Amino acid sequence: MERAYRAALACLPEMNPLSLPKLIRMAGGAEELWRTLRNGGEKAAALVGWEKERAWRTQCRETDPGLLLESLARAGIRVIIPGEECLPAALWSIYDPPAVLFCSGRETPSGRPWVAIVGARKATGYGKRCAEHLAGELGRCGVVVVSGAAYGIDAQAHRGCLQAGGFTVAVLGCGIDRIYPPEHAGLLEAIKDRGCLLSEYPPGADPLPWRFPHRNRLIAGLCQAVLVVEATEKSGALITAEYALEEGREVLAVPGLIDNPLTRGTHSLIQSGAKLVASVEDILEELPPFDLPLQVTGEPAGEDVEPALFPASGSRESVLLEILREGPATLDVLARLTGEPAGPLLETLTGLHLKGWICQEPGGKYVLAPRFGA
Amino acid sequence: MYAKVDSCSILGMEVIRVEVEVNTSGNLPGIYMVGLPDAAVRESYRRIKAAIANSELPFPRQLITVNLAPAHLRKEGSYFDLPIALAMLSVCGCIDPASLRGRLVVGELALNGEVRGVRGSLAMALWAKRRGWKEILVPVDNLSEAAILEGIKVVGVKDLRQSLDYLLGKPVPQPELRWRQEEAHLPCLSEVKGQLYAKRALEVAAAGGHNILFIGPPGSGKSMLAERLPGILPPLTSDEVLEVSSIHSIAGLLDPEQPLSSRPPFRAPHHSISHVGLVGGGKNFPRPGEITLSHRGVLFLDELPEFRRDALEVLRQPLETGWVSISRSLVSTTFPARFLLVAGMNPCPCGFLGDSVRACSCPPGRIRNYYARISGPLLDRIDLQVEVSRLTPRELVELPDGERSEEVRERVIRAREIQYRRWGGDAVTNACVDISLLREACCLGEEEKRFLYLVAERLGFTARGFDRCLRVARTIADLAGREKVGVADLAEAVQYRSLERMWGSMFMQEVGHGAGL
Repeated sequence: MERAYRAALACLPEMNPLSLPKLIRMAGGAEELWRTLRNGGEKAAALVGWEKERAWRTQCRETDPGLLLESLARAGIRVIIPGEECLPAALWSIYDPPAVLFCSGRETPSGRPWVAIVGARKATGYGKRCAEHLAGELGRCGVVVVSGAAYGIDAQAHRGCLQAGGFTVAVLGCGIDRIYPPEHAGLLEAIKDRGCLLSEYPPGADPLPWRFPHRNRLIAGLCQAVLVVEATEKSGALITAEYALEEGREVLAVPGLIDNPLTRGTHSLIQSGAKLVASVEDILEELPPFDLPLQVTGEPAGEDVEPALFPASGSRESVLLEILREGPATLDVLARLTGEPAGPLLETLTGLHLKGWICQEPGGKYVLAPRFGA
Repeated sequence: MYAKVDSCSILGMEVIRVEVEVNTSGNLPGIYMVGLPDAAVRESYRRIKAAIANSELPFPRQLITVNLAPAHLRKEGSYFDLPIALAMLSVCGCIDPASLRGRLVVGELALNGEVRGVRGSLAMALWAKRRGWKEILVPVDNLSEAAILEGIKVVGVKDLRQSLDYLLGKPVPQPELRWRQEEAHLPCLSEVKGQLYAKRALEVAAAGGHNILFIGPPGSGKSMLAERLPGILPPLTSDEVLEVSSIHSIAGLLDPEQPLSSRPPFRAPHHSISHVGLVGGGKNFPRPGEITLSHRGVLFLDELPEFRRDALEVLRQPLETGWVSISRSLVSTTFPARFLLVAGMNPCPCGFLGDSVRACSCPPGRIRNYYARISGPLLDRIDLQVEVSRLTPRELVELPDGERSEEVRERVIRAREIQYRRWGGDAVTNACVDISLLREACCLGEEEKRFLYLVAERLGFTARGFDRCLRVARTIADLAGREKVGVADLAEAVQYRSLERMWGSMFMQEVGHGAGL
């Protein structure tokens, strides 16, 4: 019943998940707290104030925690309470652990290390490439890859892990039945299908801005190590890294080009002691030893674009690819380095684009496609 | 007593003939003005009376009836001051009614008897010439504008007395006219350093008459590029010159030193413009808007998403048809509007998305909203979407000058000639020809079709984007002088659909890619 009461408490309107554990402690248990709130009066008001006492009293009287739990289960949503073994035990000992977590998707595999990959939403091709590659390698090794399902690095980390057939967990800043950002509907569905979604917010909760930094503490809390791929100085990824430091988790960072504004955050992390990650081994070294699974869960997702054969050396295509290996380039740069006119270059670029070798970024820049860079 | 003077007026973009009749009767002085005059015409009585008095000429002291025929059309403007005054003088016996025949007269009077300039004299002279008139009297201020036409006698008059002298057969001194022969210097394409992608796109736009959108951070040279487009467009043909000059004459924008210019017009209205300012309109008498003023030339809309939505939406129909029809309670009229649209916009609200130096500070949602301000139907009519990036100061100094405008224009003219020959009409370009004809003229082979399927599948092109690609590919082939459209042409054309490709990879794909997992 503890599970039902905690779920019902978290579902109260405007319940702050950060203060819920404290309320439960003060009331002497989730069931006690529920009773107090349902009875209302002085005792409840002393805990939550008169305003909420009134709102929640009615709500409590209309809700049956047992039925609520059943209806959640019918919707495919599991409720996880502190101490349960499906999540790493370290989560429950962070500074402000969640009172309850909502989960949908598969059962989490046990005995695996958890690693978070976080970074900028407006990542460059390089960042996405790194995130996808490293997440894929980690997934193949059986590491659970955790991220926040945001644009950019987050999404690419989830994708990389899923494509490698690994298990990935998305911790959301809204209810787990909400699709946010809306463009990620397909991705979230895929994660639910072959990994799982977690949230401390009740189903239906809106993606409010202040929820995301709080969510970041869970990402840090769940993992043994947090890998930052690309971040500006004020990035949310750095908040996650900070939580990780406070909770004694490893912080790792991927370096990049110094003229890219998105490396300022990661480089300052490295300067202050974060480990520089150049390959997946650099991450695995920091993790406690674990059994490498021979067969990873799930089957690798089929690639819709077959990696084309590398173009013959000396061809215009291979010349362009060699230049792009050095970093993103505009048509001007390509024309200067190859000495060819714009028309034929554009034609070749389309060919490379169609074969999946390159893609385009804002600013008219061409970059190597994520999956071929590494 | 009765007298008649022939005059004309402007209605929308058309010149209409107006017969000014004056009749005097009875002995009680007074005036009736009939024939649907607007305020400026009704007030002319006061000006005429003062002008005649100050020229020391007689004024009829009887009941005067002024009629402006045809009576059913509204008359506006101050064109009729001089004709009415001359008719009155004729009634008084100063002029022989026979000498008024066979001449058109227009002009506004000042109170001291001087004749002031009016708008549209070139258009009027052109109309008069085509209608077989032998002579037109215009204010001397408008002389250089109207007198450039051959085949009609244009006489400039300084004041009322001079016009009377002229009609009485006395010699009237005409000022010496000197027109500028050489075309004003147009900015040259070689002044834009680097930007090969954008310059190539500009060439394709000029060659095929395609509309073009530049996306780039502030200072990347979008306006510079746009201003250089008229310089690489083919010069206007003599018919087009007259058409364009008439429009500018009616709008009062003609350069009196060079009334007939073969350079295509270039207009760049500010983004606060209203939809009436853009397409034309007005309360009673529709006036041409910016799209008509840029007829046969270039309309540059910088900061496209900042334009008012209703102003942009009204562009859709003229972009398709090449003309705009304006209906008001009193008049409805049609303005020509075949222009080449060049639009500029930042890649995101802060302007620095994708910039190599400054990081963009916009959340993804805001960027999406920024692009959503330009409606899909409008974007569909812009064939070329090109990203422009900022050059570093070093590149600005070190890069060599590019091709000169003249060289590019040569190629553009050749490509245009091929198109005119193929479509069998003047000014029919790949951008505006019927799509079924275009598809036929592309003669796509099996290989090309396979390539297009691949593009549709991998890059998520829509059916519309497809047709746009085909048009652009046809132009690229024409520039190269190729009979058939090949894979190479199509591949280059794909590169000019920046928005589809870039946003395909940034946002749209996140849906497609995710769903594909």
